[in-house]
Amino acid sequence: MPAYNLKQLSPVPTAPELIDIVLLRTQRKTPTVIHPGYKISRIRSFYMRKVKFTQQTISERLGAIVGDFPRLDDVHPFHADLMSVLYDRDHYKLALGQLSTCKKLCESVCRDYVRLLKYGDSLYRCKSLKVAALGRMMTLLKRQKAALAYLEEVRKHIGRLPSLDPTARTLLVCGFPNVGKSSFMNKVTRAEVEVQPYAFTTKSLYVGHMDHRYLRWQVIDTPGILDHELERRNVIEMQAITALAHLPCAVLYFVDVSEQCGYTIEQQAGLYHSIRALFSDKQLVVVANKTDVRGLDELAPERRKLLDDMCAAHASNGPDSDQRAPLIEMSNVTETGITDVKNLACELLLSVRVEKRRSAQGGGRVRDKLNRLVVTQPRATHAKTLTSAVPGTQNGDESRVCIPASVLAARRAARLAAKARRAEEAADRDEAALAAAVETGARLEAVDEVRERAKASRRAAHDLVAEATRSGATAPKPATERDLMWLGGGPGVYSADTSREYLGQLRCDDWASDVVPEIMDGKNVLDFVDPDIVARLAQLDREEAETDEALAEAEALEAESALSPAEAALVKAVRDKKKLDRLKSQNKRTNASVLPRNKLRGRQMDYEGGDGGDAMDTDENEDDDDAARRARKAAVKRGRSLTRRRGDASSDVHMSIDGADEEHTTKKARLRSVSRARSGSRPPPRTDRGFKDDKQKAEATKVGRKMQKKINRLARAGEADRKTGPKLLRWRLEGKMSTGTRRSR
Amino acid sequence: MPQHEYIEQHRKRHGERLDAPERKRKKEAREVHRRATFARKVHGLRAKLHNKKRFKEKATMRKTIAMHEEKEARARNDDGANDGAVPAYLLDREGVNRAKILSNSIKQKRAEKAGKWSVPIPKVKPVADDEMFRVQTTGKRKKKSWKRVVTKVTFVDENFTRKPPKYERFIRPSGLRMKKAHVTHPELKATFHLDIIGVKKNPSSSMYTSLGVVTKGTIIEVNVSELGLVTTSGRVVWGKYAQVTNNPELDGCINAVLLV
Amino acid sequence: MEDDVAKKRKKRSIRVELVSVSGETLGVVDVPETASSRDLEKVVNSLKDDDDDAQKYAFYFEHARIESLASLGSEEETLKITYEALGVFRVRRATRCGATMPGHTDAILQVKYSPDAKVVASAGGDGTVRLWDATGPRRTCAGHRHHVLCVAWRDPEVFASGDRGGEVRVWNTLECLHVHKHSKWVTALAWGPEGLASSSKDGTIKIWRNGRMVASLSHSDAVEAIVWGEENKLYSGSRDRTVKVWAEGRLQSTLTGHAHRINCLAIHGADRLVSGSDDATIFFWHTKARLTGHQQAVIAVAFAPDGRKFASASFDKKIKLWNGVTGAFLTTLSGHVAAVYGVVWSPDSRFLASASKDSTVKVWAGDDMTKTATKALDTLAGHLDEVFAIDWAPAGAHIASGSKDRTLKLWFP
Repeated sequence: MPAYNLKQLSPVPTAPELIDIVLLRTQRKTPTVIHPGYKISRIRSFYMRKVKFTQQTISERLGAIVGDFPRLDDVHPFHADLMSVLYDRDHYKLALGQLSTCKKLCESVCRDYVRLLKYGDSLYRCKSLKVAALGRMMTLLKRQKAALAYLEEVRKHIGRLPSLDPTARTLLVCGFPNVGKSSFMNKVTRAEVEVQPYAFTTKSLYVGHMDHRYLRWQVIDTPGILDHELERRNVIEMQAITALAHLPCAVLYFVDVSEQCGYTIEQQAGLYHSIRALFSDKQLVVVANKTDVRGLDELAPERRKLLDDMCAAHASNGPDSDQRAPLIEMSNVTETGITDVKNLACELLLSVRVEKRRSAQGGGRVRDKLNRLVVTQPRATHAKTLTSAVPGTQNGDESRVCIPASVLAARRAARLAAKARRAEEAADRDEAALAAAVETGARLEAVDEVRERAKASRRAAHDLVAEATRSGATAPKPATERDLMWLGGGPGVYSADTSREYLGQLRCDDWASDVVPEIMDGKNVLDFVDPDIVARLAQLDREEAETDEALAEAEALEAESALSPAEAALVKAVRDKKKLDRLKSQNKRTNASVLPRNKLRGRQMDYEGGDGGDAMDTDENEDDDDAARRARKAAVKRGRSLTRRRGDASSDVHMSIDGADEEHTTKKARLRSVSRARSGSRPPPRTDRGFKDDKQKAEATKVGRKMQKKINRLARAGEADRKTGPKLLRWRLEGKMSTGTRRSR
Repeated sequence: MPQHEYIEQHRKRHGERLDAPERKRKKEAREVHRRATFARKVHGLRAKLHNKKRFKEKATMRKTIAMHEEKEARARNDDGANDGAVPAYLLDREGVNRAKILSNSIKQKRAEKAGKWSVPIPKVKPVADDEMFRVQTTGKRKKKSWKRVVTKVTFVDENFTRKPPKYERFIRPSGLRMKKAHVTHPELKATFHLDIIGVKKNPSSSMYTSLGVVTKGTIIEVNVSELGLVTTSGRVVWGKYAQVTNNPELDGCINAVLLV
Repeated sequence: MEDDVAKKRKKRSIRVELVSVSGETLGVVDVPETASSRDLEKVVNSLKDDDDDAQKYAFYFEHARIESLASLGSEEETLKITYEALGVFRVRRATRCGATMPGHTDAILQVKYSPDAKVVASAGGDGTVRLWDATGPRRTCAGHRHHVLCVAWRDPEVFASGDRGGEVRVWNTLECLHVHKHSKWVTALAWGPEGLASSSKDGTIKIWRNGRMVASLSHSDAVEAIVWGEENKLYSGSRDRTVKVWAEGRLQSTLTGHAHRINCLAIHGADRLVSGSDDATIFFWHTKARLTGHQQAVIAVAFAPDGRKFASASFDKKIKLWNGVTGAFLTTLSGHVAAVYGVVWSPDSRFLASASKDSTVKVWAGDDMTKTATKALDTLAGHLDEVFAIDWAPAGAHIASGSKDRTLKLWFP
């Protein structure tokens, strides 16, 4: 049985809403861009996807609705009946049935149109088919307008039904309209049911809760019931009837003895008798209400008898209710008897429930166990079942018990031992009797007789013991591994001989202790083991040492004979000269490329403006000087004037390189050189621009800092903060469009 | 009143706050502005839906207002002045739209001109062969192109048996075959889902007729036995002609009008 | 010998039981076999105690009109011959178009002869009532601001007209006397002893006398037809499916039975009231009989002046004749190819004329009940469009018909 949460059904959309949902979902969740130039298979699948997706969405939504609503057959019969009273069972089933039919129809529409789409030969045709398919599905949905609206109403109403637990401890208040049911309810619970002095104030079931004996009790207030046939009862009354019919509870039948409700006691008794069938196997308390107006004892005797009859009638009402119902006086106004009514009803119900549970539990336990127990009767399968025969001798179809000879022997030994023990005990007893007889000074013959008996029994015992030891000795105990361990030197010393396991498995038992060959790459490793390798290695070492010695001697002899020292010196001189020549030619470099002047100058400036000459590698410096020289030479060669050049550029360089703090360079020259650090063509840095002089700049910086102070204090984003603007321009994101889509802009 | 209607219960017990109607009125007054703001902001599909909804609402609103507005006596007198004069016994009759009824003489002339057959769709756009058929190349090298596949909806008789597929010139795909049509009876103004008996005439070509192609304007024969039409002699009519009024290959169904 | 036999046969007489239309036996007489209807007339006149010996009769045997008794029956049985008094005069039926009178600028919606048959009034969609005599137009009564739907004569001098806007005007020969007002269009006008009754779409019937409203009676829906009966009773049929009988401005009774709107009423004598309805049936209230046979709405019913028959015209293109006393069905007159709009009897009750949507007027024999007589005697074609209105001159001289083609035609014998 699926669990339905009646309180939290999800809302059912109306038909137009559902259509909107479905179409919007299709629009959003399926691709939207298609062009006639696409491959036809792509176009087809594009539209097929749309149709299928729409159908899936519809199926999903409708399926959710149909699955969400409880099936009347699945819920508790009380709820099922209540729902069929309130919402009309047929209508309810029809509505759900219509939805599931609609779902099926949508599926078939989808199938048909997908089939047709397979033959679509143009974008237009595919699109038309898609439009037709969606249109038909939407038409189908539109037809569900009434069913959906009905289900939404049902959902809203179901959610607000009182949360009745049909299995809880329940008191049910019923009676004619206006007899004080709701007032009682308000007195005993905190439900705050509306009480009005007219009939049918309570139009539906109300639930309140109270405590009694530290248990939680549910009190149900029902609408008033009138005394007529079941068919003519209206929805309000039928709710009360449904509750009475399905809930196991204690019923409080309210009778207005003052007849202020507008119904005579006779009428109230009549109603009682007409709905009495519903009280069978329930606990009933007849409550005489409004006794503040007129007490029970003020009633006329025939009226009083009516009430007594009601109580008595309950006794004959069913198998379970074998006692008459109690009659209690009560008044809501003076609050007399309210607690009595409550207590009595609760006790009645509680006792019955406890009893029922106990019996159910007790019986249940036995039943539970009995279910698991199986008593089997032994059955003779063959005349001679137990034979101590050797296996294999019987004909095979019957199962025989085969008891090994050793076991039989052991058993016999045990039997004999027991017998021997008994015999020994008997002998002991006889001897004790003999001793007693001697002690007491019995008659001589009697003593003799006892002695004889004692002797005989002792002898017999001896025989038996002997036999028992013999039969026991026939089966020596095999040595266990543990025994072997103790024999072999105890734990840690003993190592188990695994080769014993091979015994009986090999062709010859003495092979069992053989060494198992170690195989590698299909070859026995032992075959390749040289037993005297060490000796041979030693011999090899020796031979090598001898050859080395011989070689060294030979070399020494040869070296002395090759060159004289003079020759050697000559060789060295030749080599040195060669080296020198190579270096010289390298230094000459007549065809090396010439570094342009401006590059040269830039490099020099960089050195100057850089971290000083002392950090520079001297070799590099030399190279540079060399290059500068060569460049100058080349320029002279070309006949360019050097006057405009900084005539003492190289000396300048040298000076600055040698000592940056030398004083003989003028201030102007230094300034100029500094200003030349940045190329004349480049503008000054942005921070320096726009100021007349440093003073002005300092002032501006000061003002700027001051301005920044507040921004910094508030931790706001200032103009210096890094900012990322919007990726799309504002005009592309905002505002309405007259035509077209945003994508087309 | 079910148990959980707390708001109503509270109102019943304690009443409403004193300015409740005023607040309600104000809230309703604000609603207009809220809606206007939404209308200004919304765009795309939602805007389209919103506008459509508002259009409908406004139309009904206008109608209601017009209904409740006090009309001038003269305006009322003028109603019906433009539709031709008819005697009292023909006034206020549904189904007799006098304005549309042509005078007899004109009708006569038209009837003569139209000839024997007058059908709901007298003119249809002809369907060319290359629109109707797709060429199917065949042969081992796919060099032969004498096979044709019909691209429109066809009706194929139940006891039609294919030629051997190798020699079949025209292929009518089974996915595009239809057996039933939605037929509207013009006088009953009711539509029935009827079996097609055959294709009587396809106006585009006699070949299409013999192939059973159903396009717009095609005359089909339908089984009307379930309508219970009776001839003058009292026999039940079962076959009747109907003209197709839609493009079945685009709509996925055949709609037709019964020719009576 | 043969002569003898022939003589004997000639002298052979037939026993005839003469029965009146209402079923009373006048007497059983033996008449010679050769007796003609003239002879029978004499017999009837002599048997009757009336002063009027020149009364003419028509004789019917099994609903077929007979001229002589020859070849009807044998001596053994008594022939039951029904006799029926004929009008003192006979009219000749119209056969040709006597005059075509253009003048209206819109369709003619109703034509009515004045009681002295000298003038015919036509109500036009152009908002005028025009009076014509046999030679041509006589007068144009302008004043209505909307289609004039109906006219009704009180006497040769005074008539009333009602229009689509709800205005009722009473005219004399010179001018418009009174203007009355309904809130919706006027559906019918009828002069009675109490004054002019006008019924309207607004569901009321108002009775006017000397320019003042005497009574206002109301239905729950549009009133479609009114007719005055004897004893100052006013009968009204309405869209609310009831016929109400009013007397002295008070509702006397309500007749219910129709399933749809009532289109037309006709009455003869004190209580022979018939009503035709959109439910394609006619109620004969005298016997409370529901007369079925038409297949579409019955748009007009008319009693013959002698009250022996009444005719009903329907949108199903048929006219049916019914017995005016018992309500029994007599015959169907078919021939129109479109809806029939109106039917009128000739003053001598021998003919009836019908106007139809098929632009023709047809003249039918109203006294011959044989099967062969269900064809039209004459088809008066000439109108170019639907014929909306028809009237037969009280003196029997001619028929007037008004059509949608804006002309009035007079048809002469």
